[in-house]
Amino acid sequence: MTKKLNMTPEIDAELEALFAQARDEAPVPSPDLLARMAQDATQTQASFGRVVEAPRAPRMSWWAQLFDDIGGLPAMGGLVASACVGIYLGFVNPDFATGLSGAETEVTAEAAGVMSHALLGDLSWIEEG
Amino acid sequence: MALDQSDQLDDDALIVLFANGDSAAAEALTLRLSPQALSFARRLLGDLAEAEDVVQDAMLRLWRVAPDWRPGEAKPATWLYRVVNNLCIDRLRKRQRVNVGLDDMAEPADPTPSVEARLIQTDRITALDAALAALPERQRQAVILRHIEGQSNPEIALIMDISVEAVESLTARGKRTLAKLLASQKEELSS
Repeated sequence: MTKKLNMTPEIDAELEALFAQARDEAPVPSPDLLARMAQDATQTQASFGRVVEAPRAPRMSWWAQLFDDIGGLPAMGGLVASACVGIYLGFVNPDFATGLSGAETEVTAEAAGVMSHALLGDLSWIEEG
Repeated sequence: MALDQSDQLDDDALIVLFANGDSAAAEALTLRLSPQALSFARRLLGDLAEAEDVVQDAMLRLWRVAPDWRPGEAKPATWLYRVVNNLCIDRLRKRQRVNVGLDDMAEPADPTPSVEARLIQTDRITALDAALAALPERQRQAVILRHIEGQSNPEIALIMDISVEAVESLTARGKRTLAKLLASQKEELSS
């Protein structure tokens, strides 16, 4: 265990004298160190002007541009699927397509008939009145 | 800019000039900042060659941050002291000369007999260096910055990244321990 030491003005002055001596005897940068630091500064300064160019996007061919414009792969998938369904309906089940158009005609005629009765009813009521 | 004109410019202005391509600004900054950085590193590390490497590294970092330097925020000298301090701590820790938790001790142990015996034949400055080397790491940094480098307590607080109160405590404890170590050396010399 070390002894306790009280900081007296004498001890303080003695320490301050030592610190002052240390300040006076501070090392000075050698010519070699100064040259190394100057070289670092020159090299670093030279790098300030260099501008790093951002990489450009590669140019696309006209067909790639067209493919991209119409929606890319998802749009092309939709087109192909629609075409296949069309071909299937046209060649495998033509009656279905014809029947559908006939049914539509009947429904239209029936609706026209209902309208006619309603109108006639209204007219007959007007005549009675 | 001519080198003799640099005396009228502060460190911030020189850094801006350097970033704008003025080579004389680099020389002026080197001559102005590197001596004190070298003195501090030499006292912390106790080795001039290592201290020179640290100062070169610290100055290189200053050159690199120059384009992003914001004048008025941190004093370049304080910034450089801080970088030197951190680089020295890294080197000291690599040397494994510093024991973890040494700062927590109330009083450091006396120097070893071999150190004391060696001090008998040394001059006052070498004795001071040996006593400084025996101080705990943070006390040593604070004492050197305050009493040898002449930095103010707020500046030391910035350099060491601690409060001003902690700086005051470290310098007071460090100075007391230093006096005790030097007194024990004197006893050895007179016995």
